[in-house]
This record gives sequence, C-alpha cells and structure tokens, in this order.
Amino acid sequence: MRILVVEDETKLAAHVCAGLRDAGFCPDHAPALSDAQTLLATVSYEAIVLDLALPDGNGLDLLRKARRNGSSIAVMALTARDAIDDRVAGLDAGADDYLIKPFAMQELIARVRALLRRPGAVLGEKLCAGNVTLDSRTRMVEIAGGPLALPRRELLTLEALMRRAGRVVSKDMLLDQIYELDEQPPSNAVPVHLHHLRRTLTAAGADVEIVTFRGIGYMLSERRARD
Amino acid sequence: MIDRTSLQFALAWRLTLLLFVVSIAAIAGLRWYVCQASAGYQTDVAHAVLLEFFANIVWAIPVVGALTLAMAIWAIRSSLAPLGVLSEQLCRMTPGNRPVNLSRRALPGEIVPLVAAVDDALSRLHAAYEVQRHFAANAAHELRTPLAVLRSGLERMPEDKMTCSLREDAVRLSRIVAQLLELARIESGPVTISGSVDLTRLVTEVAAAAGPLAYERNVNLTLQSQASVCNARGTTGLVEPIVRNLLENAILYTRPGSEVSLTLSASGMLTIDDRGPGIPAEERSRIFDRFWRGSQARANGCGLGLAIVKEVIDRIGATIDVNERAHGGTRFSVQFAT
Repeated sequence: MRILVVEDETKLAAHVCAGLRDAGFCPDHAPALSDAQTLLATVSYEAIVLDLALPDGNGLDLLRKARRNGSSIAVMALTARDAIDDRVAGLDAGADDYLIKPFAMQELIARVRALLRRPGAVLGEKLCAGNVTLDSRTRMVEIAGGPLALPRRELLTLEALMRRAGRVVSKDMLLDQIYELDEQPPSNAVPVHLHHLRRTLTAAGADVEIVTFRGIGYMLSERRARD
Repeated sequence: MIDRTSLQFALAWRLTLLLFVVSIAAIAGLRWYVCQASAGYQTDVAHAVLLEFFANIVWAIPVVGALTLAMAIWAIRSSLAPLGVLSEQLCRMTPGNRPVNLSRRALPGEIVPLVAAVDDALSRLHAAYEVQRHFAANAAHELRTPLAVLRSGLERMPEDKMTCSLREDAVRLSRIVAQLLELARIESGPVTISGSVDLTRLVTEVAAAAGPLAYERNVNLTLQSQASVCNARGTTGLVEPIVRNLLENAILYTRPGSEVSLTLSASGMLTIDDRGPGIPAEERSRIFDRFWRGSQARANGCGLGLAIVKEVIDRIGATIDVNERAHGGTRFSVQFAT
C-alpha cells in the first residue's frame, strides 16, 4: 500500500518512512510541495502523511487543491503548531486527521491504519483488537480464530467500538451507529447491548474489555495486564 | 460634581479672583480720584456723586464677569471636543490589532505633538508585541520538529533499559515544551475575552480524550453534567487547557483503583474530585506559581500545568478554589463566568 510522506525535515521523514515500512506500507518521501505535486500526478497513493509547514508553501494548499479536484485520498496532517485554530483550519481544508509534533510512531501508524479503514476506504475489511477480529464487509466476528455469532445490534456496537479501539466513544455516537434515524431506541439501549456484548465476549475468551466512563462514553481496549 | 482638576475649574476660579481684585482696585482708585478732585468742595457732595456712580455701574461687574467666564469655557470646550474622538479610538484598541492612526482633525496645535507621540509609542508597542507573538509560534515549530526527530529516532532503536529510559525523558521533554508553548500562546493572546463556549460539550470531549490515560492508570473516570448545554465566557482554546490540565493532574495524582469525578452544574461550576495525597493547606496559595513544585509533586511534572490554568482563569473572569475532601483527596472548583 503506497503512502506519500511530505516532510521537509529529512531525518524525521526517514524515521517516519522506516516506521511505515516496518508496518508493511510502501512509503515515498517528498521534501517539498513541488515534489509532492509531481509524485501525486504520476503515482497513485492510498494516503498522504502531510507536514503543514513546508519550505515552498503551506501543506494546506496542496490539500485544498487535491480536494477541489475530487480526490478522496486519506490525509494525515502533521503540525508543529497546536493552536486550536490551526487544527480546525487543517480539518476544514480536508485533512482526515492530524497529529501534533512530537508524536509517537505507533500512534501515527495506528491513525493511518484507521484512516485507511474508514467505510468505503482501502482497508475496508478487517478490524483487529487483541484476539478479536471483525470483518466489516462480511460481518464475521472471530475470537482467537474461532467464529462468534452476535445479534445485529451487538455486532454494530462492537464494530463502532473496534473502529476507535483505545479511544472513548460517546453514547450518542454509539446510538447513531446502532439505530437507524427513524428508530426510537429504548432509553437503556446502550447499557443493555453492552452488557450482553461483554458477557458474550468474556464467555468466548476474548482478551479485550469494554470500559465504561460514566457520563462520558465507552472504550474497547486490550485487557490491561494486572500487576 | 465639580472636577477640580479640569481646565474650566482652573479658569473659573482665576477669573473670579481677577474680577474681585480688579473691582476692589477700581473702587479704591475711583474713591481716591474723587477725593482728590473734590478737594476744596464739600466732601459729602463728592460722596453722593460717587455713590450714584456706583449704583449705576455695579450691576455691570457680575455681568461682564459672567460673560468672560462663559466665553472662556466655550473656547475650552470647543477646542478640546476632538479629544473625545481620540478617546473612542483609543478605547477600541486591543493587543494584536494594528493601532489606527489617531485622528488629528480640529485638534488645537498645542496638543498635536502629544498625539503624535502617543501614535509613535503605540506603533512601537505593537511592533514589540508582534515580535513576542510570532516568537511563540516560531518557537513552537523550531522546538517541536527536532523533538519529533528525537522521539521517532529513539523509537527505532532496539528495546532495552537504556532506550526505554531515554524515551521516557523525551516524552517528558515534549510535555514541558508543549506546556511552555501553551503558556506563551495564552499570554500573547488578547487580554479581554469576548465570545462564549459550550462547557458541557467541551468538558465531555476533554474527559473522553483523557479516557485512555485513566484506563492506563486504572482510574475510574466519571462525569455528571446537569445541563445539556451550558455556555460560559471564553474560547475553546482557552477553556480547554483549564479542564485538561486539572483533569490530567487529578488522574495522575489519584490513587490507582480510585475514582476521579467531574461535575458540571447548570450555573457553570465545574468540580474535579480526586483521591490523591491532597495538597497541604500551607502550600495551597503557591500551587499556581510557575515552576513551583509541592512536597507531594510527581517526579516527572514541571510545575506549569496549574500556572497555565491560573493564567486563563484570570483572563476569562472565572474563579478557582482548592479544597480538601472529606475522606482524602483534593477538590478543584472552577466557577466560569457566563
């Protein structure tokens, strides 16, 4: 899977490319906007890791131009500025996600993977967390290789949580995923589905847990090592 | 209410004094002149003439005085009126906005040099302010990029004890840099804040972002919001650091296995409760000082988190309180302005 890394700091670019290569991607490096434009015109990439401050201009311009031309390529913006306005500007210009420097390489790779796994995106099929896998196309769940049957709403709950594994998903976001717009969910819908889902997962020997943050949301995480 | 420092007051009392002195002198001089001129005649005739003269003239003294005073006050008011326009212009100026050239229209010549000097001073201040502001933004980029190189380099090194320890140092350094830059960004922003932000939504988002940290530290994180929308004065960029810094502190200091609870009242009061070691009463007045480290401080903080909180609190007109909790731990309460 080809990824374009647009970053003028050569050392950082080298580390990022090496990290992506280790993770099974095939990265190319462009040190400036002009190189990036040439590469984008000739090679077809699945994602761009885009530094916003480049020697020959702002990465946002490249992004805006690409989006105007109808490109739906996944874009992960990297920024050294953390003012909220800059982040908002980045997302407005069409970045799918952003990371503030300095960042952890695992975080970058996890986020790029998540982008490629968006509905309709390149990595459409397999979500993994611990020993649980969910194929979002065939709706098959496996735990340590063994198939697991789940009712539809619990499956949708699991999928929503796995798409954002390790991050908190709000109750409203879960409700949106589980119920259609014209359905009227019962007031305790989410806790009830989660209760069943937790029980089923534990019984099947899954090594993930679903944490509740009361009043905030839910998070699927690999089971914490108890020391 | 009479303003004793005003030009009108100064002029009025001097003119009154002058009129008084001139009247006395005129009466005395006239009397002396009449006495001299009437030498040899009967003095009571002279006195009668004098009295008649005064009776005819005395009404004019206060009238002339009042007219003079009125003219003087009118002159002062009309020539100083353009200063009102200047005051309005100056009132509208805020840090970060280029100062407009002050209006010199219809100004008395004596005041023009002062206005020019103020103009110059404002431009110099603005230039200095811009340098400071850009410094924060440039420093952000110049510090963060090498840190990103350092961290990504360390992450590619083989796993061993030394590498792990260096990685932790790099993470700590990143945090200090991030906090310094955050403080610089807030300080260089506008001093008075207009605009409003939905606390319910913002607090929920910050709490959600802190979820993974709470999980890692085995802390039970909960939020209770009393209203679905709760507006407070401020901007996301200012209010977010308050909530984030207080919440991260609570999660890092609370006992593993205990609970950190956030409560947001409908009136814009946010309380954050932890079950940490608590802050000794004698240290509470100093916790908001920059780089101050308490007796209970964790090894890898740098003493800037609460300084950032205080800086923003003052700017958005909020108040903060620190209290001990009944069965151990600390409660921070922030009352936001609406």
